Amino acid sequence: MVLKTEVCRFSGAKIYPGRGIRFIRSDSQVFLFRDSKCKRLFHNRLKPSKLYWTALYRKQHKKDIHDQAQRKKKRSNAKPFSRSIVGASLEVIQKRRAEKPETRAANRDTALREIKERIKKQKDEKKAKKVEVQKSQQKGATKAPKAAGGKGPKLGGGGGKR
Amino acid sequence: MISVGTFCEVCDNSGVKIAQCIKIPGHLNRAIVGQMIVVAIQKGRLKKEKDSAIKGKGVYQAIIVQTKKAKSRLDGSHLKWDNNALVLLQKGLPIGSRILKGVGHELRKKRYTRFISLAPRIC
Amino acid sequence: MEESELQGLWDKFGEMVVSNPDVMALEDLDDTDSKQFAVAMAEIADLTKAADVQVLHVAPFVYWTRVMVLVTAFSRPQVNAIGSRIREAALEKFQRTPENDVDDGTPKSWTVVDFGDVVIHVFLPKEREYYALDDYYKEAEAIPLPFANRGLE
Repeated sequence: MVLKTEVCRFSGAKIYPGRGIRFIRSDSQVFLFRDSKCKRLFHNRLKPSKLYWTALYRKQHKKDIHDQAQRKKKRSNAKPFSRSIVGASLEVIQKRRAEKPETRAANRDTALREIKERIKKQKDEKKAKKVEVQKSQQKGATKAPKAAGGKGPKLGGGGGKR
Repeated sequence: MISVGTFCEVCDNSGVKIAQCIKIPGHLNRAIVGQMIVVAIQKGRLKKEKDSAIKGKGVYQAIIVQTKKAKSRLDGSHLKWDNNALVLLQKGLPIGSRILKGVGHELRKKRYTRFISLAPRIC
Repeated sequence: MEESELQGLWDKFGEMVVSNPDVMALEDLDDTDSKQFAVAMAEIADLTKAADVQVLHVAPFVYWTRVMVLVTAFSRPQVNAIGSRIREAALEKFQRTPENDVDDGTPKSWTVVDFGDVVIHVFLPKEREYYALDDYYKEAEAIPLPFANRGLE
């Protein structure tokens, strides 16, 4: 069973699993209400934008913007603090932080180059294997006509080029 | 919550508009979504004549697919519709060939998967 | 539970809380299991001399099931027979029972065997024409069957 936390259509509050009422109108539109208060107000045709406690009102009258801005500011001021974590001891972290961008870039380049070479080597190995397999297959399958019989080894070479 | 005497909308294409509940089988007072009741046709006539046995008006069995009274579900949610709606049956099979409104999940548990496959939507 | 505790849960786990996380991981996006099962059931129907077997992948259009199998039989006992054979085979080979079994033995002209993600409809020719489920789900992709379809006589 998937239990989703949903949002009230009227008040904008969160509806935790196990709560709330779902109303399906005759035009098949679905409305979710957090409680019978929201449901009652909806059925009485009140507008959420006129009730000061709803999310819609607060949005329209720009009530939360100051708080949001403050929260954002607070978050950006968080300083990096030194603490070891699983996978990197304190010294490693400090060393990494003290690295200059140029050295870091140079290290990265060498690492990338190594990886590329490794991949290239793997590809070449694979290719060589493929050629061998094709050769052996063609040798096994040859009931070749007279014309092609003379060209036996060359056929294998031609497969490799492919 | 449909009780004896309730007028309900018929939401299939059998031609009937409104039917009145005249009996709830099983010594019950109230019927909910997914329950079978006996109705008498009040408004409209049966257009879809599958069998010659079906007359224009009369008494038929029906299944409730929508109720105004909220139905609670095992996950704690409650579901309610804007009106009470039924689908007419004869000998366990639907009289109309399509259902025109969304039906509730409950029909599946009550072994009416036939109706779900005729419905446009399941709520 | 207090509001603060619930808020804590919300912050920690986000929007969706699943009771069994393995279920989400194993979600069969391609419905191959359901399709296999449906084709196997269709074969059994064919062995019981059913006609015009169609397996439709309705998952993109309908959310309550994945695959629908539509089968025509020529008499009520045959409808019953197909239904019971399918139930037996599902139990033997796939260990699955229909969720909401309504088999009370009385022969009907339209039987449904509901396995949750696969729903099998067995009709008489008149009923099939009347309810026209092929027409209703005509946008659904028809899954190719390994046997040739017997036509309606």
